[in-house]
Amino acid sequence: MTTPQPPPKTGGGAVRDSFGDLPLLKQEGAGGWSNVAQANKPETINMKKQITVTVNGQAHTAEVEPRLLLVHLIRENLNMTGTHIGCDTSSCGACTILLDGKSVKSCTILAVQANGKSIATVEGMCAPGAPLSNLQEGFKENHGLHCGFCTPGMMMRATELLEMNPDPTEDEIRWGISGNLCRCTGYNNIVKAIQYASAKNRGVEPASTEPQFV
Amino acid sequence: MGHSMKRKEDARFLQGKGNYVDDVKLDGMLYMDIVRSPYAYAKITKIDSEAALKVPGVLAVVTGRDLETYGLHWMPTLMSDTQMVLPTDTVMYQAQEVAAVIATSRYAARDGREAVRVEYEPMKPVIDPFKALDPSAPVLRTDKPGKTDNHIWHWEVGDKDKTEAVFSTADVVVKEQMHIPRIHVASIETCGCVADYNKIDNHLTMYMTTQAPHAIRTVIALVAGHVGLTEEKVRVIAPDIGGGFGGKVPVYPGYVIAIAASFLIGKPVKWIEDRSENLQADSFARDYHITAEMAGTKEGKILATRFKVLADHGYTDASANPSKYPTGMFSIATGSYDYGATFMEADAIYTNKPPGGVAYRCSFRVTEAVHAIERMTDRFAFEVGKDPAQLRIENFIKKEDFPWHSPTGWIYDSGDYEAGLRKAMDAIDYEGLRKEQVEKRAEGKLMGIGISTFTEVVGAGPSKDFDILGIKMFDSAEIRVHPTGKAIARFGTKSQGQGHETTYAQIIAEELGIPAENIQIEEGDTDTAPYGLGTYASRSTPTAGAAAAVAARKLRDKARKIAAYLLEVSEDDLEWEPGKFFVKGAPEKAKTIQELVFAAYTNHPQGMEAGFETTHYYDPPNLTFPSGAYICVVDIDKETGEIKVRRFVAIDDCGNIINPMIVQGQVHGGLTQGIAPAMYEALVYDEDGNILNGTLMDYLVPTAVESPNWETGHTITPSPHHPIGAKGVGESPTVGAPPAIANAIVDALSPYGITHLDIPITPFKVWKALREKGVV
Ligand code: FES
Ligand code: FES
Repeated sequence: MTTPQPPPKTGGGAVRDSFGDLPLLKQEGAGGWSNVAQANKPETINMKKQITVTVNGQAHTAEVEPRLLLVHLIRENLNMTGTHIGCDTSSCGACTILLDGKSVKSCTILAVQANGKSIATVEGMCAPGAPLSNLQEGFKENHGLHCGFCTPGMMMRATELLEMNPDPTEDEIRWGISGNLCRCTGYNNIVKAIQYASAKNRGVEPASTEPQFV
Repeated sequence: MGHSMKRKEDARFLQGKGNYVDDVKLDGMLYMDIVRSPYAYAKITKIDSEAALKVPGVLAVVTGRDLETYGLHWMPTLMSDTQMVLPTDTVMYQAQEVAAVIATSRYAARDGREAVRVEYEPMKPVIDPFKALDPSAPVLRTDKPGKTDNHIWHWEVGDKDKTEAVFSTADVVVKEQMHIPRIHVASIETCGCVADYNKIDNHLTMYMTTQAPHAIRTVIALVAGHVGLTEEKVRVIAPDIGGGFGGKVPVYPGYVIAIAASFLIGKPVKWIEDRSENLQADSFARDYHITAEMAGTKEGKILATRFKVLADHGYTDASANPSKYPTGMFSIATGSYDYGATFMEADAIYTNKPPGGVAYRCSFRVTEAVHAIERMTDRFAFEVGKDPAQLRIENFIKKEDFPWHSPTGWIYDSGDYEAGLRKAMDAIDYEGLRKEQVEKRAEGKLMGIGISTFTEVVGAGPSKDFDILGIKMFDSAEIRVHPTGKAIARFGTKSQGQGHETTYAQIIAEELGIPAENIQIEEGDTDTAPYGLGTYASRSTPTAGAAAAVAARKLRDKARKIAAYLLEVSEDDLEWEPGKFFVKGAPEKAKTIQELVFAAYTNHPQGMEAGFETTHYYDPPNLTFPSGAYICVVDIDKETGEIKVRRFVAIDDCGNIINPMIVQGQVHGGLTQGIAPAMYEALVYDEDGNILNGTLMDYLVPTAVESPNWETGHTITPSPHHPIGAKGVGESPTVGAPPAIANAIVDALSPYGITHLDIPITPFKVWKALREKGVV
C-alpha cells in the first residue's frame, strides 16, 4: 500500500494531549459560544421576526432571521428534510414546494415571505403507512426515480402541472417540468409517471408500466 | 431474474424519508464554510481572520498553517500524487480552498467566510496544456523537489513499429485532432459530510457522500492514523446518495478539513458544498486532447489506428483510476473492430485548473476512447465513400472470434456486434432514413444519421492487475439468513440510485429461492458491511453481484447437506428447484429452503456448523465487455445551426439482465448524460484561469426538453465467466451516445466538406462551420 504524504509531525501515544491548547479556536468564554454572538450582534441581521406558516395542514410558528430562506425553514427549523437543495442559482428545482397551491422554488423565497401562507411538501403527499398518492405511485410503477434526490421537487411541480392541465401531452409535460433537473433518469420515465397519475386522476386506466423495448 | 420487479428503495424516497448527508442532524453540530481563491495561481501573502472571528457564531478559522502543525495540510490522491488540503503559501486554481470557517450555524459560517480577508500576489497561470511544456512556462509543482517541468507521466501501449509500417503503406489514412472537453458530473446532490469525532471514545463517525466508503475509511486511517484515527476508530457511513457518477469517489479537501475541525473541537461538523463550489472545485472528467489516425484499404478494411493524447490533469493527478492504468481503460480504443495494429500514447500535464479525472458515468476513460474510435470509423467510411453501417459490419470482430485478444492486451469475453447493429438498423428503419436523406439533401435540407457501435470494458477488476492505492479491486457480499428464512445481505458497494436494494435481492432470490421481498439489502456502513471497493465504473453487478450469487450458492450447498440429513438420502439423490430440494424421482419428498434454514438453527446435523450465513469476496477472472449499437437522427436548421435530435435508438448488450426495468432506466439516464457532453456541457476557462460557467445557470445540464424520447432495446450475449452471465450497464450509454450524436451532426454537414466538430456541438459551432464553408 502506498504510504501517504506527509510524515507525522506529532508523535507518540499521547495523541489527544498534543492538541491541548487548540490554537485554532477562539477562547470559549464563560458563557460559551452564545456569549460571543451576543457581544457582536448586528441589529439588522439578528432582528428576528415571528412568522406562522401552515405546512401540510399543520400550523407552525417560528422566530426567524429575515434573511432565512424558506427551504432552510422547512428543512432545518421544521425538520422536514424531504425538500432538497441542489443549487444556488434557482436552477435545479430540487427545492420545489407548493406555496398557496403554486409551485415555487423554496430556495428563492425568504421564510418571512411565507408568513401566513400555506405550504405543501412531499411529506404531505400521503400519511405514513397510507397508500401512495397517484403521482407517487406513478413514479414507483414507472421507475421515475433513481437516486430520489430530484423526486420530491419533481412531484411537487407535477402536482401543480396536473392541476392546471389534467391531461397534458408529452410535450406539455416536458416543458412543464423543465425547471426541474434530474441527472439520473433521462426523463422518459418521469414523463410516464406523470402520464400515469394524470390517467388515474381522471379515472382512466393508465398505460402499461412494463418497460417497452424496440 | 429477468423480472421488472418494482424497486424496494422507492418507498422512502417517494415520501420524503430518504436520508441524505444534509439530512443528518446531530446534537451540538457545527457548520463549516470554505473561503476560496479568486485567482488561478497566486501567492498567499496574508490571511486575516480577525474580522471573521468577531462574527457572531464563528468559532474558528482554519488555515493551511494550522493544519501543517499536525501534518494534515497535504494528502495523497488516488493516483499517488499529492494534493493540498489547505494551502500554506500558494493557490493553484480558481476556487481552491484557502481557509475554513467553523460556526454554530450555516448562516454564521457564511458570514464568517465573507469576513476572512486574504491577500494574494497573483501570478501568470498555465491554462493551455499545449503551452504547459514550453520551456518558458513556469514550473507549477515547486513543492516537488527536482521538478523541472509540468509533465506528469508518459504512457504507451501497442506496437509502434508495426503500426508505423501499416500506416506508411496503407491506401487511405485519415486524421483528426479532437478535444473531449472538461465536464462535470453535477449530480443533483452536491458533496458534503458530517464529521463526528467523539473525544471520549477517540472515535470518528464520518457521514459522507461517498461511492466507496470502505476505501475512504482506509484512506482516512492512512492520512490521519498518526494523530490517533486508526482504522478501527473510524466508521464511514454513506447514507442515501443523490447521484454519484464518479464525482463522489475522490476525497475532497472539505472532507478532511471537516474531520480536522471535529477532531480539534470535539463536536460534529457539517460541511455541504453549494453548487457553484461543486462545479468549480470538485473533480472534473475528461479533458483529453486526442490526435486520432486510422489507416485502411480503399475498399474500407480498417488496418491500424494511432492515438496520441495530451491529458490536462489540473494541478495534481487526482484521477480515479486503477493504479496500473494512468489512462484508465483508454486502450479499449481499438473498438469493436478486427485489426491487429495499434499504437497509443499519452502525456499528462499539470495546469492551473482544478484536479480530477473522474468518471462522469464512464468506466475509466472509456468515453474518450470510444469517441475517438467511433468518430474515426465514420471519418474513414466517409473517406472511402462507404456507408458507415456497412463498413462497420465488414470490420466487426465476428461473434465466433470470442474470446477475442485485442492488440492492446484485453480479452473481450463475448459479443455479437452485428446482431446489435442490425437490430438498431431495423428499429430505426436505416434504409428508409438514408433514402429520406437523399431527398432532403436534394432540397438543400440538413439531415444526418449517426452510428456508434462501441465496446465497453467494465467490472474492475481481476486482482492481478487492478488495485486502487494498493487495495485489490474485488468486491464482497455477506448473506445472513435468519431462522424463519428471511435474510439480510450486505455489500462492499454503494448504490447512488442504481437500485441495488432491488437487484441484489433478485440475484439472491434467484440463487436461493427466498423471495426478494424477504431479503433486506444494506450497504454503505463500514462497521457492518464487508470490505469492498465501492460502486463506480459499472462494477457492482460484475463484482458484488457475482459475490452475491457465489455466496448464495455456498449457502445452497449447505442447504443440500441439511436436506440430505433430514430426508435421509445421499446428497447426490437430491435435486434443486428454486426454493426447495427434493428427492430425484420422488418430488413429494422435499424440503423448502425455509425449512432447511430453520433446521440450520434448530436441528442441524451433528458436526456441522450451526447457522446459515456466509461471506464471499469475489475476485473476477476477467473484466466484462458490454457493447451497444446506437443510431441517432438529427435535423439541422441551416440558418440558425439549431440541432434537433429527431430519434435515438439504443440497443445495448449487457449480457443477462437481472431487472429489465432498472437496466432500461440506467440506459435512459446514461443517454441523457451522453447527449449532455455531445451538445451542451463543457467547463470553460479563460486565459487567466477564470471559470466562465461555474454555476447551473450557465453549465447546461439537459432538462426534459433537451432530452429526446429515448428508444431502447437489447441483445443478450452472456458473459461466459460471470456467475450469472451479467456484464454491467450503467455507463454504456454515456460512453456510446456522444459519438452517435457527433457522427449524425457531421453526417448532416458532410456535403459541405465538414469532417469533424469537437463536442459539445452547439448551434453556434454548426452555424460558424457552415459560414466558414461559404454556406449562407
Ligand atoms: S435548490 Fe436548486 S432551484 Fe432551489
Ligand atoms: S433521480 Fe437522481 S436526480 Fe433525479
